Amino acid sequence: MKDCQKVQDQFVEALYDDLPPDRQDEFERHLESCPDCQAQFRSYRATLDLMKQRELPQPDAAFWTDFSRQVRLRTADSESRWGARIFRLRRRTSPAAAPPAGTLPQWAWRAAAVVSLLAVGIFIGRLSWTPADLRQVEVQPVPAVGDQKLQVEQRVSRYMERSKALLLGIVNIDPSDNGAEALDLRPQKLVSRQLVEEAPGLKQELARSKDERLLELVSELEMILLQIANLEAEQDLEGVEVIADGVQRRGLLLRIQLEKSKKPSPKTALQSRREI
Amino acid sequence: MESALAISGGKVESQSPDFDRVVQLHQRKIYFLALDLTGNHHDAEDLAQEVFFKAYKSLTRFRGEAGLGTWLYRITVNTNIDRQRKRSEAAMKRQRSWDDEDNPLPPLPDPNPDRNPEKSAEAGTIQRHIDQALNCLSPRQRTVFVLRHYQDLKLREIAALLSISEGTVKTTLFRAIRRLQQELAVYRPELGLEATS
Repeated sequence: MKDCQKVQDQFVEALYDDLPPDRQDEFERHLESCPDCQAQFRSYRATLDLMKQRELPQPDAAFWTDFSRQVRLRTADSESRWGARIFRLRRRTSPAAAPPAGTLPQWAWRAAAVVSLLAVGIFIGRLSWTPADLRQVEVQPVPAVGDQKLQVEQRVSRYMERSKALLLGIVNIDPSDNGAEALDLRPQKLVSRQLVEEAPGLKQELARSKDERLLELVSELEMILLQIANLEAEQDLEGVEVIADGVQRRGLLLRIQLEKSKKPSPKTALQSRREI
Repeated sequence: MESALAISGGKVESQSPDFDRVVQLHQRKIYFLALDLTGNHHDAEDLAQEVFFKAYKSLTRFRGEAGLGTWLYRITVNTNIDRQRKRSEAAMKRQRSWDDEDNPLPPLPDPNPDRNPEKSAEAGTIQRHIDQALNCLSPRQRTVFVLRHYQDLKLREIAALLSISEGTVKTTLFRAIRRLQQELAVYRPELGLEATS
């Protein structure tokens, strides 16, 4: 009886084959000589075998893609809420912090919006057009290590330029101006989406080259760009306020400028390479 | 055998901004753990989303002492416990507190009393019975059972995860198995066991 209790205390380990070999031998010897313990143990083991037959639904690939996207949106949304709170608090506590209404006429804001849209358009146009001689340099079959580095630098530089143009357009929108409500944010959303899609590849390259500072900057840009891409409406001015606040808090424009001043522009880099 | 925690415990820098990668690496494990703990797809998806959201918010507090997988497991288990507590507070009628292991719910009635279990052992019915049996466990029993049986964690790992002693884990697991055995007694003849308990 005393042995039975001792053996039953080891049922859990024995059921999952966790008993050390010496105790396992002792355990099995007892079961052979004790039909009650043997029956109980068999019953538990059969129960666990039955529980192993449990089948779980297997979500398809689309579920996992959507899952990641949902997490990203939720985290971005959380940041937006914080940004919105800070913005409202700042407005409430410091009326002077809000831009004075009516300092510029309505037409001036409209003109600024048109100019920023044009700037974005010009950048897209310029980036999609590449001179023939530059294309020849870019399509070399097996680039050397130095070339790869140069290509990453070019991509980063282009990415920063496009992001900067986009962010400048966003931070210069004044939501307190009535004319801003007529603003159509679709081009900005489109460019943001393109940049968000480009970000993972770029981050991979930066991780490979161990450029942590740039990696961090691209990641933060990605977060802001995602917020722009996910603006709820074409005239989501409250969202614009939040994003502009986020850009300023993170000092993104300044950091982009700093990166730009550290590295040569793609054109200059390519020209110097050709000269060599 | 290497445990699930060890497999999923690849360390990631605490300040890493590449949170997408963390999600992609661990989303399946966390979803399936959530599914084991909650028992249905919608709750599992919701719980797993919350886990990653919480992880994102507290990523700076992750010191890398344990693997990232272990950390996410802990968040999953604790978040689920919190949810269970809130639910049980909201539904006092159920009288099913976290520690109420000695007074479990009455056994489930046989869903097909007129049918011979041997004949009714269709896959769907077995699945339903298994789910019902799992639902009869107390939240603590279910957590421990799921972590050992489906997630393949060792007793000491479960103890560390739940911040309880290994002895408590063992006792809880044994009670869970005993309860499942009672709930699934209808299948004993099919399993080649005697019909009586």
